[in-house]
Amino acid sequence: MSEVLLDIRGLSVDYRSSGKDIHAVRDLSLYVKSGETLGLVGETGAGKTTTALSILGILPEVSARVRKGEVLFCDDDLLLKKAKEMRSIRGQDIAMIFQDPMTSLDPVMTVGSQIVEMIRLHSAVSKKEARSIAEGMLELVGIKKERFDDYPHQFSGGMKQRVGIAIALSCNPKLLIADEPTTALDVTIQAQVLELMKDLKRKYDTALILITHDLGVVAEICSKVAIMYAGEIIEYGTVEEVFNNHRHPYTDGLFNSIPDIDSDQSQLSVIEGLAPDPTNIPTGCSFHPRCPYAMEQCSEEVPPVFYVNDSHYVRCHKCGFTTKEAVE
Amino acid sequence: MSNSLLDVRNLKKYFPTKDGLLYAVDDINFSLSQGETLGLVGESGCGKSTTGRAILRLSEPTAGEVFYKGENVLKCGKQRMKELRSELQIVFQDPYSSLNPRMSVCQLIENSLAVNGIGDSSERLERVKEIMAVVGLEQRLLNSYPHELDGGRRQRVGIARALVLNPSFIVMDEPVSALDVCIQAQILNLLMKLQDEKGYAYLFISHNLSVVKHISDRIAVMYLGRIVEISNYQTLFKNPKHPYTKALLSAIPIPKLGRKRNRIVLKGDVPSPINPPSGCRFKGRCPYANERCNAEEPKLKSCGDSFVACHLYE
Amino acid sequence: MKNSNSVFFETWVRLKKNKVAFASLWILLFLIVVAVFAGLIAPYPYSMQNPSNILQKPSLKHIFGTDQYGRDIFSRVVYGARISLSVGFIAVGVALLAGGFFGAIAGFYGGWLDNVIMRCMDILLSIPSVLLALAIVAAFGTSLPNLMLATGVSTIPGYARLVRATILTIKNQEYVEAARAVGTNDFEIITRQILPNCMAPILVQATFGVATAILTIAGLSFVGLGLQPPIPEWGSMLSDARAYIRGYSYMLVSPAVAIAITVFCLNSLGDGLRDALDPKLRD
Repeated sequence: MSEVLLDIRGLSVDYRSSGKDIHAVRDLSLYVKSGETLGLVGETGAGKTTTALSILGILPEVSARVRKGEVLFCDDDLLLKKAKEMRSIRGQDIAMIFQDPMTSLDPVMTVGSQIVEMIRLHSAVSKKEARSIAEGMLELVGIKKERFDDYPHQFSGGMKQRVGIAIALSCNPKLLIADEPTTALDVTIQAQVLELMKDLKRKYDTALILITHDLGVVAEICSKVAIMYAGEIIEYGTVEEVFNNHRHPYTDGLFNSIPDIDSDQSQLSVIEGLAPDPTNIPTGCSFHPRCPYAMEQCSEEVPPVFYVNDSHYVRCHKCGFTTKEAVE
Repeated sequence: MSNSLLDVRNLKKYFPTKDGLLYAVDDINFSLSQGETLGLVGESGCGKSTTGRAILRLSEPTAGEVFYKGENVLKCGKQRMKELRSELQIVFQDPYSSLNPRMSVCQLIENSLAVNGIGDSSERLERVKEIMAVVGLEQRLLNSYPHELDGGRRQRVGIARALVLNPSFIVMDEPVSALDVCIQAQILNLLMKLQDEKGYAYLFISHNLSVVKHISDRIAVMYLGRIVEISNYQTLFKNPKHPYTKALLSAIPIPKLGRKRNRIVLKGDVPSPINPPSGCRFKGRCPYANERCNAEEPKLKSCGDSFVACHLYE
Repeated sequence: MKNSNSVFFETWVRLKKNKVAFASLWILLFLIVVAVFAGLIAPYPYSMQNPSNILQKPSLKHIFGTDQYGRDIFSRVVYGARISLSVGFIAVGVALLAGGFFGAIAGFYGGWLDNVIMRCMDILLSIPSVLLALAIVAAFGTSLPNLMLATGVSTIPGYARLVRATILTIKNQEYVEAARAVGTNDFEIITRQILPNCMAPILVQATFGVATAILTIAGLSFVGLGLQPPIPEWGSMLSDARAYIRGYSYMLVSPAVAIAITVFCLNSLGDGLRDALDPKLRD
């Protein structure tokens, strides 16, 4: 049933700032099958948003540069596409939901017209038809269609995010990228929006890349998860594997840093130090200065990909397993 | 009764707006003892930040009393208030906007002392170095500027600035919300360690329940300017009573698999604190609302070892 | 404020990248040096008349030539730099202090005080600036202080608004609240917390302000309401040169070029500063 929809191979993206090169994404590879939900987890500066923007081809032109790699969408390399072709893909085949609902909607257009705009960009329907599709989308995300002519400022944060979802889904894209869609929302509203997203995913069988730093959200909605650190994916696998059988010391540290709601702890176990300066990434394994298990090899050699099993890999010298062939 | 360090009674803060009166904080009562942490949780607009600021008179309360060691802080004159400020401090949420970008770390921390005329400049410098060591800031950062530091270090500067005055009570206004999870853990550990060593009392304001549970002794849940439930942290999580508390707890995404969640998804949005509805303010979203909730506002009453404001528990 | 060490350095580095602005800065510094050391640089006193040497074209003895009274034009231009620059800087300085003071109070305290002050500023603003300058000069005479007042007064509302706006933005920043939370009083908050963060837009406006002041005073002198002869103000030199434009056009060129270069450099520097100080214009 599931073919590979998105296949990123060896993507490297740099930003140039004040004469220095910031290695935002380094040799990143991942794939998403149709209907699958991949969680992309990492802290600030790990490179998650840059990855998302690279897929859509909307990196800032002046400062960002894709140094190498391929982004294959249905076997077509998006990085090689011309601007016109990308414009037709964005919205129609791949859509994005942004983090801050307060600023991602145009304040001077009604919410309905923003959905209509998306629809008419990609299909030759009449205004009337587009309006009726848009009204359908609003109802789908739980907003009364009478609010078609309301402006964004008349909605709360949660509802604005729903509008964002409606716009993203209006052309029934194959892949949806959601960049921290619920981070700016209150917990009870977040619950509503997550339930909505789960519902819609089931209905439309859309593949989803969910970018977040919240492992709780990943547990709720994702089937696969990739953990990013300093521009690389250091652990990747099904949610079961990564949550219950994680191998990378960073992943371990990440899980242990979160206060456990089920138990009483006196002190949280902590990963010492800070995420590396992206202009000055440590040699060898980028995590070695903070790793409690670091060996000499870690500062000298970049760890290769080790397969724990055919759906779970880790970039770590300590986790030496026999390398297996990649399935895809 | 007054073994407590801080006693807040009937605290109110209303803001006049063109659409009517905004009831940001509406009759808040609680007390806090030395060395204790009271967590104050709620979602945006519930009034928790305003409560913290009102207690410190950074935003003058509309009504109520705040007794600190028996003295009513809200009735103090300017001079006495300035003296009290050394004992009642605050750590802000955003480490990016709570530090003056043109002042070095040393100046930022020293300023607290200089403004209160404490010591001469060499004594102050010593004190600054001391407190930097206490909060885990490297001495080499003395002359660094905020933009050169990451979020975690900036927040440590914010904490140092509050602690250098040797306060007894500190309002922590979402101190870790803007930080990454790993840094968050470091700062939480620091705050807890300092409390153990120095006996600070914290009012820990946050919307993140896991964090609040970790650090608080008691927790108060706020909704639309009112406290709807207060209990100790274990009871609140094991045995939540108010329907809003239950919904809040069920909404938290938990980073564990295979948890059967009976998620209570609340209908609708938080109503506006301007001209709040009559009767119980939660009635519009409550799955158990009935006639009585429409007409009568529930008061905070004792129920087991908690206090709840809900007709279901009377 | 020593505090701004690292911000100052960063700004300097960014300003250097703008070649025109950087060159303008150096030219202006040169002009200031010339103005300060006019006595040493000018070969002749500016008022020394020499009837036997009138209307000489530029030569080795008189680099810019002589005017209708035999005065050396080069020396007059050099002293003129002193006049123009000092009027420009002082007029702006006074306007900045006055406007800044009122703007700070209006912005910080708000309420009725804000209203009263800003309405007064509005009234001042509604009077055309040249007319106001003319009126002041006509009423009080053309002494140097009066001229500085005349050129400066109409720019006071501009600075008041600027400072008020910046204060409004900054006074709600959390770090101001933090300063309050440790007991800082109002005066210290305004001077140590808020004003240093307003410096950028004020500096830019002041730079343009000096250029405008120089043009204003040149304009006033041109119509005879500026400094009286024999004081060598560039504008009045232009005015004198009008009668001799046929045949002796060199008299016109030197003061005109002097004004043009000074004003251009001030404007370029202002532009460059604005870009260098704006943190959002990062590459």
